[in-house]
Amino acid sequence: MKVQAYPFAVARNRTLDWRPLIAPAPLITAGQDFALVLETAGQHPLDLVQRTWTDSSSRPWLLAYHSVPATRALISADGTDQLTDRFGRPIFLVEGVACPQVRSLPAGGAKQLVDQVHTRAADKFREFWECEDEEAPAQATQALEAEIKDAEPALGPLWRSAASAAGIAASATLRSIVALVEARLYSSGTKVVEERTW
Amino acid sequence: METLDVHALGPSGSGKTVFMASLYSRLRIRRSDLAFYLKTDHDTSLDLNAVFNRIANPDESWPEASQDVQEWRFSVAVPSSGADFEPLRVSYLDYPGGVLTNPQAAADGRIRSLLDRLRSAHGLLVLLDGMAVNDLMAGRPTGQRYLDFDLTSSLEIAQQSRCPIHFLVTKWDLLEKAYSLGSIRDRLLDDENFNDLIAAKARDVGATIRLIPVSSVGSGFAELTPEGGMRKTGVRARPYNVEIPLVAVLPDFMQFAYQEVARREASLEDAPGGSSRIQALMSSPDASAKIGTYAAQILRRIAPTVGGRLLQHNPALAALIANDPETVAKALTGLADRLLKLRQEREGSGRAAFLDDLHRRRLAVHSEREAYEVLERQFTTILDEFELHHPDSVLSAGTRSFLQGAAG
Repeated sequence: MKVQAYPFAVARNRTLDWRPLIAPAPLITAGQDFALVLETAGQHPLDLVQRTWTDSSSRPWLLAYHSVPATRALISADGTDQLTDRFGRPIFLVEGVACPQVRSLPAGGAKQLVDQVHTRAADKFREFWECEDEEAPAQATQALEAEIKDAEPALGPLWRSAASAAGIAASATLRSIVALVEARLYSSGTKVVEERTW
Repeated sequence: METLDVHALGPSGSGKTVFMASLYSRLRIRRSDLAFYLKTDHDTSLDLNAVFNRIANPDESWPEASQDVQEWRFSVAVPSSGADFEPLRVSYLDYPGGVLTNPQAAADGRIRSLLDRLRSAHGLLVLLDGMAVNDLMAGRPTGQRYLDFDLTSSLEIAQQSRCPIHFLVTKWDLLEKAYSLGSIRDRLLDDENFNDLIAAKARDVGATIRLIPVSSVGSGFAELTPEGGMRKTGVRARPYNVEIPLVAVLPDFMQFAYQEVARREASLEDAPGGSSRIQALMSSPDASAKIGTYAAQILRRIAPTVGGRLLQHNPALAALIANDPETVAKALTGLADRLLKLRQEREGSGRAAFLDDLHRRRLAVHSEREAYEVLERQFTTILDEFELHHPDSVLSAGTRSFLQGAAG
């Protein structure tokens, strides 16, 4: 399956609280990039996590991410101790990809995508570390396209309502067809009509 | 009794999560001097205990900053000889403090809902970061910047609410040796924004506003580092005053509700001399009992539709009344009289005998109503004593002022 993967990263610094540093352009445009902060909460550091999230237009996303301690090495050449905020609380960097219309990725494929984000996330974190501007926006990212074998497509409202009404499960092939139709409807900006069935 | 929404306001690092974890740690077990304890569900208990254990453990770093919105729900339980009664429930929202000042966060639907809930709380705890207050007292620019920028959004929400407000000076252990509560109060009131907020709330709302020194870890547990952070010293955690804000919420809210209902009713009688009825009641010898009964009548009348101006002026109070008018009416009826008698009993019998009597009453509780009365007695007593020992803690109104007004 061809997967679109938008890099994202969220973090804090000495003075500013959690915020997206880089985020998918469509989420920034829709004013929904802060959801990345809320959706990636957990007991850091986190190993690779995959979780689904639905944006306010009912578009399903897969968030694949991990978190790492933000160390001094991220902001300068020397030192590996973990950075802390002004109160002494440890700082972590969450980095990952947000994939529209995807339900899950094979672990290897997800790791490969997340690993690709690290350099960009680290660069942005370095710049962010000295930032004190509350209003500084996240940097928009464009989608990377990758062919990931065994990626499972997400099914949006079209599928969910139909499947719920019919009370049926779906074959992988059928799910792929529905996901493709839904992806086209979203990408063309067409509103999904719930009654339109497959 | 309906759930009271008691929420914290404060920028990142002010201590919202740590305060709640410390409060729960202190009150999850019934202490010998208290007639109640806090109960919550197993998951919440595990979460809060984990946070407090991490705080208290000198070998662990401070807990991470909150990243998502969480709601902690508690029951205030009164154990009697036969069963535990839960006459009061409290809900507390925890969230990343940065959402109060970050415009990106304000665009998120969940954060907008959070802000709406903060504005309609029954009681607000504005957490003043002790480290920033320390800077303010020392005349460092970071202290003034905290008041001018970091705290602005919290003060705005406090301004927009209609409920009792408690300003908590957190990390009091870092301040107690250098400054008195009075000197901090004076410095805060020197700030035009802070002073105007207190004055406006006192004039327009009339609810109690308090300044409460709290420490979630207690004296000597932590010290400031040269870099401006905090380091654990290895001293055992002994939370200080963490129960006071919780204890204050019920009496302050009920006293506020009592006055608010009376005030709204008076304002409904807009005709010349329309407030004469309430004035006549106020000036009569048994004023408090009459007003209590009168308030109960008003509550019963407006409750079915949550009508009248109360809804516009105080949705939180109106919702509480609409959901459970009879219980609220009973709680308000004769409130001032009860509180006056309580103080007289305490002063007459002495503290020890009064507490013995309170525990006898606790053991004899057979209903939620009786359990509520035990809580009312205990909370009011703790608050009355706290006010006596910390007169600078009352920024506006207060229990003693309420009782003086009721006594005529």
